[in-house]
Order: sequence, then C-alpha cells, then structure tokens
Amino acid sequence: MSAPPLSARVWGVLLENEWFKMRKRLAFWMTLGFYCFITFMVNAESAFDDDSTFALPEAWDSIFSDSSTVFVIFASIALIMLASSEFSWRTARQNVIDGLSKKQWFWGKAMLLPLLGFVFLSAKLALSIGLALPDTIGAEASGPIFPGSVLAACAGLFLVFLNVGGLALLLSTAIRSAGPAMAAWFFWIGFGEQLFPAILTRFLPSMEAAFRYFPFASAGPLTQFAMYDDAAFQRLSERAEQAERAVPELPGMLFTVSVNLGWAVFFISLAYLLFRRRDL
Amino acid sequence: MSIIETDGLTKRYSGGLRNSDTLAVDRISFRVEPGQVFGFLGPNGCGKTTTIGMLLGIITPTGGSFRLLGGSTPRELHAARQRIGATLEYPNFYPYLNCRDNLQLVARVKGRGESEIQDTLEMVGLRDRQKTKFKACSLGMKQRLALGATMLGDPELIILDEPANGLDPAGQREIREIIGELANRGKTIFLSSHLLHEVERTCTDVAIVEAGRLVKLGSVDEITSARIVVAIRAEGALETLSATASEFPGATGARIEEDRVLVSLERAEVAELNRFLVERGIYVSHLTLERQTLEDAFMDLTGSNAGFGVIQ
Repeated sequence: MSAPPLSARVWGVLLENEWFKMRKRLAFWMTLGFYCFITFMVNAESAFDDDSTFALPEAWDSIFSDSSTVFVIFASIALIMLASSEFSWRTARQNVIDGLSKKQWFWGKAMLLPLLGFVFLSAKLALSIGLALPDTIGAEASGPIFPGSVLAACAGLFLVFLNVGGLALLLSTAIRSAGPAMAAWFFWIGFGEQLFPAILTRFLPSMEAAFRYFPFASAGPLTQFAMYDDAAFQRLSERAEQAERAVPELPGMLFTVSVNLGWAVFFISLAYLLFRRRDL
Repeated sequence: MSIIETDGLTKRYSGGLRNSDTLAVDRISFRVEPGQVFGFLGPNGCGKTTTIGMLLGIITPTGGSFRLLGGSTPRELHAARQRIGATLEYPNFYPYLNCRDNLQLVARVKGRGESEIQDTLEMVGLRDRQKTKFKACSLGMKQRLALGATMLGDPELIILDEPANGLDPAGQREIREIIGELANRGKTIFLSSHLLHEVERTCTDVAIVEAGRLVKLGSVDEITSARIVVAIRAEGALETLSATASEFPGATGARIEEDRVLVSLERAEVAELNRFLVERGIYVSHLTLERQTLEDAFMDLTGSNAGFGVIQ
C-alpha cells in the first residue's frame, strides 16, 4: 500500500497554485514591503555613513551580516501567515476534497520554504546592491564585485531559512492558527534560545556548548559573510585586532551546514508526520 | 461495481485523559450504485459529515473499510477521488480571491482549462459576478461557487453535504434543479441533507443515520410506504389528543400540525387507534389516512426532531 505519487505535473500545479495564492495576497505584500523597508534602513546606515564607503565587494560583509536576521524573521512570518490560514479558512480541507492527497497538500506548503526564501533573498540582494551601487561605481575595487563567496553566502542563508522556517512550518501545521503559531515561534526564538540559555548557563556554564546547537543559535555563523569569504574573514580579524578584541573563531563549515540541515530535515519531517496523523 | 461501498465504517474520537471517547460513526455499511441519487439523512451531529469526510480522505477511519469507485488502497482511493466532485459543510474558499480565481485553483488541481471554468461559472449563474471576492459573496453565491467547484472536471460521483444550507426557497429550488439536471445526465449523486422535503423530491434511495448508526436503508418509496400517517381532529386540547395518541401501542410518536394531530402507524391499526381514543374519552371528529412523507418516516425511525424545524 503506497501513497499517491508526486509527479512532475503535480509539483508544477502545487508550485503554480502556491505562487498564485501568494502574489494575490495583500498581507504577503505588506510583509514583504515592511521587510524591504527594514532591510533598507539597516543597510542605509552603512550606505549613507559619510565616514566610510559602502562599495562592493567590501560591502558584502555588512549586507550579509547586518540584515540576515531580518530576512529570517520576515520570511518566517510570511510562511506562518500563508500556511496557518489554510487551516483557519479550512481551505486545506477543501484542497484535499478537490483532489490533492494530504501528502501533496503538505509538500505544496513545504514548497513555500524555497519560494519565500528565493523572494525574500532576492529582495534583500536587490535592495542592498542598489544601495551599494553609488559608492561602487567609480571606486577602485579590491577584487571581483561579485565573488563566488556571495553565491555560497546566499546558499547558506537559504539553508538558515530552511532550518528556522522549518520550525515555522512545524508550528503552523501543529497549531493551525497564525497568531498563536507566530507567538510560539517568537517565544522559541526569544525565550527558548536567548533568555532561557542565558539564565541556565549562569548556574550551569557547561551547558553553553549545548545551546550552540539549538536551531537559531546554530544558524548564526551561516549569516556571517566571513564564513564564506577569506578576505572578509581577514577584514573581520583586522577590525578585531584594531579594537583589541579576540579574533573571532568560526565553526567548521561542514559541521555547521550539517547541523542546520539536520534541524531543517527534523522540523519538516515532524511537521509532515503530525499533519498526516491528524484529521482535517 | 458499486460507486461507494462501506463495510462497518467507524470513527471514534479519543477524549484524551479527561473525557470519554466519542463514537461519531458506528459500523455504518451501505452501497451506492451507479446512477443513484442517494440521500444520506440524519439530524445535526449524527455523523453524516464525518462519514463523508472519511470517504473524501480528510478524516481517518478508526474501523471498518470502504471502497470508492472500486478502489480501496490509498493509491486507488486517491485516483478515485480525482473522479469525484464534493462539497463538505460550508463552502471553504480563499476569502481574498474572487470566484474565478478560486475556481482556477481547483481547475489546475483537476487538470482543467479556462473554457471549463467559464462554462462552470455560467452553469452556476456566477459569470457576471466572477470578479467578486469570495469574502464579499452572499451565502447563496458561496454555495453556487462550491457547487461549481464540485462539477469541474465532469466527475462521475458528486457528493454534496448540505448544499442548500442557508439558502432561501428560491435558492434551494435552484440547487434542486441543478441536482436534477446532474441526475438526468447519469451522474451518481450522494446527497447529505436534513431538508427532508428536498431529499424526498430529489433522491431515489436513502440511508437514515442517527447517533452515528444506520437505522434505515432503502428506496424512498419503500421507506415512505412502510407505514401510514393518520390525521386526527377531536374536541378538546390538541396536546391531550397528541399525548393520548402517542400512548397507543402501534404508534411511533404523534405530533401536532396546525389544528390536527398526526400519528404514524400500520394501516391495520387505524380502527384499533380509534377504539383506543374512545376508551379514553376522546371522540374523533375527523380521521384521514395520508401517505407518509420522508419526514414522517424519519420521525418514526429516529424518534427525534432535532434539526428538522418546528415540530410541536
């Protein structure tokens, strides 16, 4: 006994329908608009600073490192909004009645992860590059404007969203209501990964290492451009030395990617199992 | 091959640690044959929607089995559901999308094109209102849209759960006409409703469910001709007449309708009933035999008037 297959036609229909529903939804555009505004403001601080230049390729450091948390937060909010409302409107149930299997419906929702990741990451890059252009044009570049490490950093950020957005998908399918799911997501990020570890490590300092493997904490290094670019790491080290701080130690790439990928697979699989078990 | 075949279909909801389990559907078995307009009747909360939900794959049965269009494995059932059009309870669509966009989403899943969307909008009378957002639609429009989505893809089996819910008499009539048209085209229709007059006019066969159990299964004619209804008028309070008549051993309930009391019983028992009333000091001034309606049959079988309008 096997579940119905996910053929190329079904994948196409799922993607087309998710994109259609997304682009017709005002709340999605409002979230994206607000995200662009915040991203612009974060990068504008560096771009309009008279004391420094915001030229590529050096600007990639701050483009990736400064506003990546904003990217993860807003894309996750959009995902929770788009996925949870399918339950409150009972359209998840209707979609299955209309001919999708539960498996197909779930993978349609899971496709929001790459879809939103692509849209929000593209918006971030477009805005940041736009802000960096005036300083870049005419400036003497220290290297290629678009080094290969930019692509690696994009892939890293994408993975971060699969991890943290995977948690958002899990909460959306488990709680089935946008408000409480969003509250739970923020509670986990704020309390579960910030406050709780801070309190606990005061009494049990040995726990600090374990908390580094938590979803949001393990995603942190992948939002640093220095993880992907040797020149950026060099600049980071120089700045640390100038400020008489310890040179930052970055974890191994393979290990960090594995941890993030592990969380993403765990969250998405758990979301699927929970969804499959429950009636619509 | 039966279109729908259930065998001991059961759904039990776990009450968790604090509450006891709820048996929503209790070993229901029935068959729907090709071309039938099958009425699935019962008061609100009797398990109709749960049963349909199990057939449609949105609720997992806890017991029994079923076949849809001959298929019973998950893969076969999924393939069978591609050939089914269904609505369940209230119409559920994306509120921010208009009627056409909502149908387009369904059409894509069913692999249908633009021309069929327009034909469907025309058929359910929404062509001129296709740009209206779902959230701005009246309940009647929503029901029509749901019916349209159901008919997309020319399904072999159409499952309708309370399609006339919330509609005015004109709307109910329109829905009845659409169902009649579909039946004339040879579609098998599974209609769940508590509007018994509508079902009696539309359906060929019915199953009556109460508290999750199947209490009667058969053709409408078989069920309505099994017993007769006696309309009685007598001097004195109708309540007294109704209460006394309901005590008659052959009666399965008595109810007041306008200025008379309706008692359901076997034809052979009419004279006995009259004698029974006279012995209790009630002299009948008027006694007529009437054909039992589906509603009467339902009352007899379930002993309930829950969800069936005002019955004094």
